[in-house]
Amino acid sequence: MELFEGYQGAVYDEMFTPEGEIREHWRSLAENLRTLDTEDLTLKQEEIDWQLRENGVSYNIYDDKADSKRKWNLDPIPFILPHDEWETLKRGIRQRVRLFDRIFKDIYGEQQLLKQGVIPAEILYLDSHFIREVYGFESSYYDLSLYAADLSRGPDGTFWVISDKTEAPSGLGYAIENRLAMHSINHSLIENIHVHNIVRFIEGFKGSLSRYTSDEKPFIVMLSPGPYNETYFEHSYLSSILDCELVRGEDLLVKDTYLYLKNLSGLRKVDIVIRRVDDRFCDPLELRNDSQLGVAGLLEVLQQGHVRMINPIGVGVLENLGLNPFLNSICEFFFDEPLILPQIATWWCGQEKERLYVLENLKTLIVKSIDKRNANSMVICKHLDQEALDTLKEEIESNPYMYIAQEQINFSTIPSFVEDSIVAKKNSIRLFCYKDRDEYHVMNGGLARISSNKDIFVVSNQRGGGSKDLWVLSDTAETLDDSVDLTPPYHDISFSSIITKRAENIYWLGRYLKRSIVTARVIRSSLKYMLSHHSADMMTDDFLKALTHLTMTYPGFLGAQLIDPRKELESLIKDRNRVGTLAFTVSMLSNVHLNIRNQFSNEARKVFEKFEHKWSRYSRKRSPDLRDDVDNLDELLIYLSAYKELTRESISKEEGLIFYQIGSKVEMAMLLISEIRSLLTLRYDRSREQEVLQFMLNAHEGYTAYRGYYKSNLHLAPVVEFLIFQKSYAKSLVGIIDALKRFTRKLRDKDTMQARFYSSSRYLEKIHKRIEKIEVKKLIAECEGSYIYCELDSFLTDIASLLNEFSNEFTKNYFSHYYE
Amino acid sequence: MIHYKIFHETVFQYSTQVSFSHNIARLKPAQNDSQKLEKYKLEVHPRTKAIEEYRDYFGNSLSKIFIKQSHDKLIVTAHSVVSVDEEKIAEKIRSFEQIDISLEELQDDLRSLNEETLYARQFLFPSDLIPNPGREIAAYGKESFEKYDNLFEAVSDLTARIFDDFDFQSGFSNVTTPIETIFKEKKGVCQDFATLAISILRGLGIPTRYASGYIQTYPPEGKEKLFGADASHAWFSVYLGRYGWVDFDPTNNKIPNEEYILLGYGRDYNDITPLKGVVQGSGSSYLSVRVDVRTMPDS
Repeated sequence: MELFEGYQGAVYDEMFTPEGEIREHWRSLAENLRTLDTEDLTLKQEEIDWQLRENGVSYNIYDDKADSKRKWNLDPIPFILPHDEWETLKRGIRQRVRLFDRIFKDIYGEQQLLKQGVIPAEILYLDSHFIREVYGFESSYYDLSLYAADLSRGPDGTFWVISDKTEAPSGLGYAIENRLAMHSINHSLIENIHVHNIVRFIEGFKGSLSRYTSDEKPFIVMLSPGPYNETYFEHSYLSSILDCELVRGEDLLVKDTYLYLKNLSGLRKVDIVIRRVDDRFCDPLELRNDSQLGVAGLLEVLQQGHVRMINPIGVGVLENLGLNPFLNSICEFFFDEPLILPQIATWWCGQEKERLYVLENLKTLIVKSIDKRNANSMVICKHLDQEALDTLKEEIESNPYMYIAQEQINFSTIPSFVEDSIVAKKNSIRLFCYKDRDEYHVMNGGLARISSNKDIFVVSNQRGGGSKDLWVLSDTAETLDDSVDLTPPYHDISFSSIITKRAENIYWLGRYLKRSIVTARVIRSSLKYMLSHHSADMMTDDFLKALTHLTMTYPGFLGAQLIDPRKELESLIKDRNRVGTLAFTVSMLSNVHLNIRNQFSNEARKVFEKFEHKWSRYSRKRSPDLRDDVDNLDELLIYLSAYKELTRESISKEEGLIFYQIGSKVEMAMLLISEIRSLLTLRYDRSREQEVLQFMLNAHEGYTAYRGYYKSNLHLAPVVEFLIFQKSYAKSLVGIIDALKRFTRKLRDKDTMQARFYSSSRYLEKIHKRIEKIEVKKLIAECEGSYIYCELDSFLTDIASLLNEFSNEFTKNYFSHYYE
Repeated sequence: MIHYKIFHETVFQYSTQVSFSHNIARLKPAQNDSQKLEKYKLEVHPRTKAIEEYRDYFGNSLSKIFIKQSHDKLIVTAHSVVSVDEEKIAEKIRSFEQIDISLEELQDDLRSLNEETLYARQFLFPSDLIPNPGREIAAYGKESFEKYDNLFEAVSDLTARIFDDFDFQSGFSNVTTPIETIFKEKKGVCQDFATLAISILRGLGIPTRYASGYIQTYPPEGKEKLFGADASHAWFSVYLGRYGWVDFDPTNNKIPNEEYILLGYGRDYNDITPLKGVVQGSGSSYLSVRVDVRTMPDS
């Protein structure tokens, strides 16, 4: 086999025997691979990459700011397990999860394990995931509903359990995506091989959920920490195939010991929460009070049994590695039988004999904290020098209860396709199971992962490794996974079921997008003016001051005389830490986009990604000259305009387009007022007035339209009339206010709570009346002893404050659930 | 029997209207051999029916209070009447003279497996607000244990030294002030002194818990006691193996007697905060507390 020439595995290799023979259960695959060469595999890899990217499969890396979204890697060569071995593994996993389920109930209930001395109490007392606040609830609370275990094969060929995932086992979504990608691209590899299907597992899990409540159709939400989380793709993917609502803490509310989802029609009672937020962050009232991810009062809802949680808060303690050395005794204690699956040898340093062994053999061991909060502080001792070893010894001796040590095993390797050749990689497999009534069901498949480095023993997505589809061979043919449709049934999305926070985000998308575009445009106009008027002239100064007003970046150009305005301009464009700058507005826009991009079409997302990429390249370095700024702003504006069109298309009426429109109009009106105030309320001489009016209309992109209405030369009166009073011009103040009135009325007609319409719309009425009552002549009448048009200025100030009140009242009424 | 009437009022003043608030009160005095709770009433404004009582892992009673009407001020007042059996307390304090236990003996006792030691062992480790003592603080504490083998004497000595070496000064610290600062500045309030002692004692391997409650105070001679001029009090409690738990008050260099009323025990202030809450709304909040402890005339 040409593909495998030169392949060199470890002591135990998944595919090859030490003699270089292909193992029995790999033979069919080898047969399917026979006709392929590396070029074919490269092609397949490219196709797989493409499909995963198209499906948006990604993995976020913490602390990796430059590019926090990593693509998900899937190897075209699968991981294969034979039927018989699988049956043994399955039995072992079932026993292990039943055992953890039993331990969970005991730790938070009778505590027989402590009282009978089966485990030392210190293991719990030192673990921040032993959550005293959930002690003593109804025993039905303590259900380990979903569980995953990572296993690797040791040199003797048997599988060892390396870790247990009880809190919020991740990977299920990736496993399914991997399988679907393999089916659609790698079909020729799977030919004539009976592989167990895994979709049935998902259907089973979904079915099991309805048995947790008396409700036939329980309302289920998936509680996620949000788009910054490393596995957010999975949250969004799983919530869609499990047919539940993806929410964050801020979308929920506890009232009278029940949990509710806030949506536009009010509150909807939640029956089941699938939890992806760490235990300690779930309730700022009783757990970590600095948490923004949880819901205040949630623990009491759980204590009352008014919501079901998968997995329940408190379950994280089962991942405590200090339990490992005692697991066999615990198994004997509860079930009167030994553990079926071997596990990695673990020594808890809280015991004297064990501690001495660890200290003596430290060099060959791996040291970890028993509290999974410190999971990243694992130490591989063979990499340490003498000094670091001594420090570690000291630490262990002073806090012995906190540490465990594990032996370092030479795990098996598996052929993996990496950068156009097949190499041997360390690996592990993650198996999943769920509980239905009192039975545990194991997925006939799973997620195989390969280490990113041949030497590094750790297999972890966080460190950027790759993944494989896990094929479990079946003795019969099964329905193929790709023939099962996982998409949830069609839902009648009604306006009133929009999650409040989503509506609020859409509103702010409208506002920030508009603000970004207008700010960029006005800056660009100023720069262009500066470029065409070489000598420093007075007008430049006025325009720059107007920029400061518009962005409210005081003192800015209004401050002490700036010798070089370039510096302030640079900051106004690129300093994201300064409120009001273009960079600041863009970063707010990025935030909002991130929160709702799931709703957008692929194109909208791609355009925004490109925009962000371009923006970050531009804003991170100094511009060589003004021309470079103009070119860049031009290009960015093109992206933003395209994005604007695409998002508007993506958000359907039922999904709250109206909020986008209202947000956009409110922002437009505010910016227009600010522009007129900063440019047109000053009295200029005739020639400068010309320049200013021209600038104003250009920045507003209204010059051509103006020309259509007024054939005359530029004069202040017609320009003011055009910008404020011209009803047939949509971008005039009156035009914008009319649109706002129209949109809010439309909102009222969809709404079940009409009262909230009136309390905000009265401000629009007031604005409308003020505009109708006043004439242009009066606005630009000279004010005695003043160099500004004071009537115009005070009129605009009033309108701005009314608009502000409208915006406050509107957001309060629709987004804060204030009156419920 | 002494009967105490206790008034404990907490006011949260918010800068804006808040719509919902979830609160937990731990204001109900404890019951034990020498302290009985005769009366207890929790008063909440704005009024709410949503008050549920529970018991926590440490055995303290707590009330969860939910308010669903718009408000800018929350007032929670606990009215308690507690009777304290001064004879029993005196007898108990006298019995402490019999205590004679070394650190090694305590550690032996802790190894025996029973519910009491299981409970005590959770007070051996650092907690959120009470970290391990640094080198300097540990060395300071150790002096008492080099002087005395008997833990009762050593802890008494430590209590006395903290009383002598530190000044009581209110307003200098809050619950988050690190013990290093207290130690360096040599000043603080009752909870700082308790926290400092707890850190030292846990560092030595002695289970130590945080006690929260009240202490009877007296007005300057010839003057009437002003209403609401008292404060909550804090001290600590150590586990001395076969002799059980013994309380010490470093703020007054005393073994708590009939002048003390206990609310409850925890690992630190966080476990036994009198009132905490989360509101829905923006803006800041301002907290004020009034406490009044006085003996009832008929006793």
